[in-house]
Amino acid sequence: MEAIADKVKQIIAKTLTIEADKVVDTAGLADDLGADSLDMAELGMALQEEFGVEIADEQLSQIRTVKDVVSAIQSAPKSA
Amino acid sequence: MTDRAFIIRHKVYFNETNAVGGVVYFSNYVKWQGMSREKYFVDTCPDWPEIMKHVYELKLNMITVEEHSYFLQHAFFGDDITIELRTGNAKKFSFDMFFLMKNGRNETLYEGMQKLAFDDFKGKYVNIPESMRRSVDSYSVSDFSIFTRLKKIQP
Repeated sequence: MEAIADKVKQIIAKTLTIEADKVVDTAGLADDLGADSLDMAELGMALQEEFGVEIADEQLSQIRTVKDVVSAIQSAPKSA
Repeated sequence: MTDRAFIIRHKVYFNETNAVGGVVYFSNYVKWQGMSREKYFVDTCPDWPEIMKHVYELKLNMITVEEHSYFLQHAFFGDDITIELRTGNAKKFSFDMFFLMKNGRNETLYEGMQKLAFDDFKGKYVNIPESMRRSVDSYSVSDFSIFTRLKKIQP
């Protein structure tokens, strides 16, 4: 589980072009890390490719914090 | 990754300068970004006409979502400007372009960047066209130390 969380945080940092130490569990993707709709779409694709899961657009739109992203990956169905 | 740059040259016209000191008016640097990227697309994407066909059919929309400019020195009427274009941060739906503009003495006048994204004209992001992605990959900057100011917006 820890490994997944670490990988998710790496992907968030790379996608948002921010320093890794800013990506903490409680950080808000939009409010604290400056993610916009394009960033969220890119993040969704990067996560799906890395973890081989499917994240619906509606689910992606519900995500607010880094911790939410980790939870979404852990509960997401594997891609067919 | 390479440090290859796509390069165009431009002579400064009088109508690109302002009334105060005869220096280049600031918005022209952004205009030159546009000139540079258009020539880049036309020259480096072999199926550019096909890409534009998708644009005209309202299937593919290329959107400039971000632009930064750093003005370091003035340029003047008659100067020969070299505009270097590099790319980076290529993702699924977007990539960045980085611009260095230099005068004839190889002094850097300007650093700029812009982020381009693609959607379907209905708000759904779509992949970077494949030929454009190959071109973007081949001009991707690997060493940001060539920029003095753009480093501030890179991690």
